[in-house]
Amino acid sequence: MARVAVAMSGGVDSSTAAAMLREDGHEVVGVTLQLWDYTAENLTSGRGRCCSPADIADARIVSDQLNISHYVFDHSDAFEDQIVEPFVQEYKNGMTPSPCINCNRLVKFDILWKLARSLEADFLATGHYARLEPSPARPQLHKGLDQSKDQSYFLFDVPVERFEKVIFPLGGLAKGEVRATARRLNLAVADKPESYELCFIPDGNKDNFVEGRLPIAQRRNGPVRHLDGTLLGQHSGLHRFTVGQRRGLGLTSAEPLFVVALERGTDTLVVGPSEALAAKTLDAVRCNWVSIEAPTKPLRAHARIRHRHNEVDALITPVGDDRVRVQFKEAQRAITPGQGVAFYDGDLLLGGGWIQGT
Amino acid sequence: MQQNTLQSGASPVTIFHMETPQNVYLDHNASVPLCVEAINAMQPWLTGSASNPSSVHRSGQRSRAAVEKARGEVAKLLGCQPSAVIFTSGGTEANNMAIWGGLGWPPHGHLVVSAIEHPAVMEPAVALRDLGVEVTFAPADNQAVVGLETVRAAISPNTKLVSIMAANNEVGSLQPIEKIAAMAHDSGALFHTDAVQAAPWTDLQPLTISSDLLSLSSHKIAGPMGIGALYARPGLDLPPFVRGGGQQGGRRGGTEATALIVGFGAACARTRTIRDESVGRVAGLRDRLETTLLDSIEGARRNGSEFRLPNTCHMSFAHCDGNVLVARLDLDGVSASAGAACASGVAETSPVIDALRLPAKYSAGSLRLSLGYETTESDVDRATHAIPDAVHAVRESGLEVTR
Repeated sequence: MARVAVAMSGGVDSSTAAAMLREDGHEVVGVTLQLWDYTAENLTSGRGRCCSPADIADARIVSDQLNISHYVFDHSDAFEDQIVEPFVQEYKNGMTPSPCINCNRLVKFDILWKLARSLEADFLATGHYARLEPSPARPQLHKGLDQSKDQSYFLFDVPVERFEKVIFPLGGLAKGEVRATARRLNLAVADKPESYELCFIPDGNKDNFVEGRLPIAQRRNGPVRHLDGTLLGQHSGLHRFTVGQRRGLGLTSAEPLFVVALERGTDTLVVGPSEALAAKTLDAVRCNWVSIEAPTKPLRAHARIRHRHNEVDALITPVGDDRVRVQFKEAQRAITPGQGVAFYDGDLLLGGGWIQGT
Repeated sequence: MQQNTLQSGASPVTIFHMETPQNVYLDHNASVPLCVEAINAMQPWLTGSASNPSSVHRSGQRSRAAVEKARGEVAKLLGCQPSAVIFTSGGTEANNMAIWGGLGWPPHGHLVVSAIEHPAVMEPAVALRDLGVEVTFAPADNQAVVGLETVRAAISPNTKLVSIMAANNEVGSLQPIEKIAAMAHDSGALFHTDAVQAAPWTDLQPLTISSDLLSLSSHKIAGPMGIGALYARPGLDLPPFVRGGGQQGGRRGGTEATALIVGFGAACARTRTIRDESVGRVAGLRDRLETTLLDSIEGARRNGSEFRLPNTCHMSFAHCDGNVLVARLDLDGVSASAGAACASGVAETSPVIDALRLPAKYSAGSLRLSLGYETTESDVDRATHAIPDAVHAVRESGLEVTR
């Protein structure tokens, strides 16, 4: 019997993970991070509901059902400084951020991991759909067995040593099995709906959220230009756009036009036809290698350029200083700066990096 | 371990059972476990025999008699006449009633409270300030003691009410109540003291004699939660805070909660019986706990005044997160708290900690250990054994200590 600290969000996944470990006879300790400041202002302005009081209450109820200790720690300051504010700044600067990847690196597998150590837990468990296999060299991180729920992509930037004392109880399960387990144990959250939005933007209205934190004077408005150089109009801020976007451009033209690039410096929104979105290479920076050592020579692998993307064949060439150049066999559509690119060998997550440009 | 899977019912049901050893309970300033005297006294009133004490019939008469008998017990603990005792829903309501009521109706005049009051005094004061009442917050020194000079400076000819707690709930510092009360009275103001935390440990009669208004809470003296009392000096014209059916002489509306009141009365009687004999013994245990911890942990300091509650030990550890420490200690079998227990269960830095003006490295690492009448030598031994390891583990985790 080991002591296992389980990250509990109050949702069905992490609650079931805790229950499964409890069934296995472990000493389970529930840990919930409060990551959002619940002032009246935040509530009335309809801002984030991340780990809302209701979710924390659910985590407490489930912990009581499981008869486990449960603690709530407030790290809303760190979440604001390290996740939310950089998210706003990246949008402002014409990037398309991926905050869940940062949250895994900076919050879940840092703050939470250290909290687990403080509580003298032998392991930290989370409800991620991913599988870890121990190996003499380094942990091997595989996709979750349920491909539709797989969350390995979001874990590519976590330092590998942080996975050494980690358990993902749901990695081998399908979502249906998780619900079934929750119902079998009569967990209070067994029928709780899932959330698909960013936890701090529950209504999914990213533009509203960003603009609530970005005074008009700070927004980067500028020209909209066609790839051929024609000035087509003005836009009201780079933060409203992402590569491949078609809606919200306010343009009328014979051919459908898409955002092709967001140029920092001139704050220009470059638009063009669908074909212009295709690119055969990308540059990635701040690479992190999970299941393998950092490669020193070109590596054939599968690359995934966003969460909902089927990996494609690619040649990954190290170009020094944890940077790589990725060459695709076939051109990819809408490669987006600010998103992560993850590299796989089959189900094995090799590592990944941050897309800088094509 | 026994496991049940329950298919029926939507209400939360514990599905895993495990015998866990009893924790050493060192959080008496948050709440004291219900005493057997209160349980026994309440039993008949919980099982169907309680009528409305205001009812005319015989059953109502029995409830009335029980309520008035309990009022007498509270009065004995305070050293006052029973008619001066108003039952409330707890210490918080008693404080609200005193702060609002002490300023008349509608509230007017100048209010003086200390900067280290419990939120049940602080929040009404802030609300009154927002309504336009002049409020002065008298600062405390770095031992959480409200100085006579600061109160003197705060009082003006317009001051209508001065409210200073008898003992601080976080660090345990005792306040110079009799002298402050005299200063208030000299300038024609009323004096209220929140004696909730002092009640289990100090003779309340001198406080009652000095005060016009005094708050008590039942669950801090091993009575049930949800009941408390406000002492109001006889003859004081105090407007009600909770308005309703004119109960308790029109001073507090609402049917008296017979069972809770009876339990509170029993807890008062128990407190009177065993308090004096417990004070010296508990102070000895507290001192031993404190000395051992100071000796065995680097970067540890104790907070608060020499002149403090005998049961309270408030310490700070450098480069340590108090909230994590409390969780870790709980897993190690010691129930304590980082500061005051708050509604969300997520502790925040309190004005009391601010008042201590600790060096930055200590400011997040507070631990409050509060003993009770039933605390034993072996409890203290277990705590002195567990705490140094826990402090070490929290420090070694690499967790950044903020605040």
